[in-house]
Amino acid sequence: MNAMTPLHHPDPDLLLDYASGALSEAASAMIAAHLTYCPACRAEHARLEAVGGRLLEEEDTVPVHCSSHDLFERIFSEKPKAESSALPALPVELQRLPRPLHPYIARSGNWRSVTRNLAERPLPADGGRLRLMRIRAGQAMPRHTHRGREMVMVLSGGFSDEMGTYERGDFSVTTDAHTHTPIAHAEQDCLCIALVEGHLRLTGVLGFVVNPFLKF
Amino acid sequence: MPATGVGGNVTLLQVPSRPDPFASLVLAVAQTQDRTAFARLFDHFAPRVKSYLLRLGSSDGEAEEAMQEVMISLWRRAGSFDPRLASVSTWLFTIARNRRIDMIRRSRRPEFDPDDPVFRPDEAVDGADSLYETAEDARTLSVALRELPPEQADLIRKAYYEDKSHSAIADELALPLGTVKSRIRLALARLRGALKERR
Repeated sequence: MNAMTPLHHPDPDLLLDYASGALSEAASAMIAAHLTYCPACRAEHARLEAVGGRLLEEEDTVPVHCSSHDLFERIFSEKPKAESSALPALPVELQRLPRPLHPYIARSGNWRSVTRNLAERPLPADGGRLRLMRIRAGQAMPRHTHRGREMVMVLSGGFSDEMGTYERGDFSVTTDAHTHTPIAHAEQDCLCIALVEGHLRLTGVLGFVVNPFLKF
Repeated sequence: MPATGVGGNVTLLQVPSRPDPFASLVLAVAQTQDRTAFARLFDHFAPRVKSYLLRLGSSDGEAEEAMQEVMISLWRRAGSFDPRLASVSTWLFTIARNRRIDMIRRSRRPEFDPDDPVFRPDEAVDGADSLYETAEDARTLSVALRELPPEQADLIRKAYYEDKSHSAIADELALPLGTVKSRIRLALARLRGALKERR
């Protein structure tokens, strides 16, 4: 189990898109999960929010159609919207996952088997195909290429591929320039959250068998 | 507090040498429901928050409504503002950003939770290496932003204020994505460098 802070992080431009609000819901969920584990990226995110604050300060002013006095009438006549803080109920084995993921897991379908070595649990979020992945211990994910960006973050266990070794909290971003084969470490299954912002094409021997099972 | 707020185990406590004047107004709202203080905050920030929302593409009506909700949030949540962690401008920026996401996407911005049992707390840092924004930082950032080369400043503003990801900006300006990324990284490195130099 990884007791250290993550070694692999989202690129600065991903953090900026998250800080600015431009990042999709699905990618934001992954970044928020990484930030749960990563003080360094939280600090960088805080700096990026501070830039947003400076830009707000330097905004031109535009006319507003109410005064603070008018607002008080609204404040005291409206009831604040009740914030639902109840946490959704999750299967036991998924409860120790970062809280930003919980609403998506709670609304997700069941695990489904993609191959002998790979199971997936799709998570409903805008911005691409977001899912939990479980790779059997010691096994490889099928070789695949994809158009667009893929993000993967380890939630438990670990994997290695051509780009390095990844354990809990480690965040990997690959583009269609890469063809990569993650191999789960031998000690335990590897649980990840992953997002594809493009079309996943399986290559190699199993490609023609597995592709029909992948729904995009 | 913005989502960057951390739990009580933060040990960095850097008292700004010249405090943020707006911070004392927010504290007055929090502690005594001071309406005059709120009015001053409103007069300064409401037109800027609305301008931000308009820039992001809202109609005048939507921007006005969302701005009012942001200012109402300021009133209701003033007690959660911590001046050691960020300036009032940054705090309001995050409230406005989140309000807009709620409005546009009808789903909330996913954010980490410092009370999450699997949250990894910040390490203790000494005062010389504060991770968070102080009033001095705000002034330094302001100067550094003004001194950015125009093509970098322009991209930073687009990134924050036009709700465009890097790839959308690249498409709009017909620039390679790599060029957009490296200009923005250069700009951020300068801003970060200005903050480090000050220490």
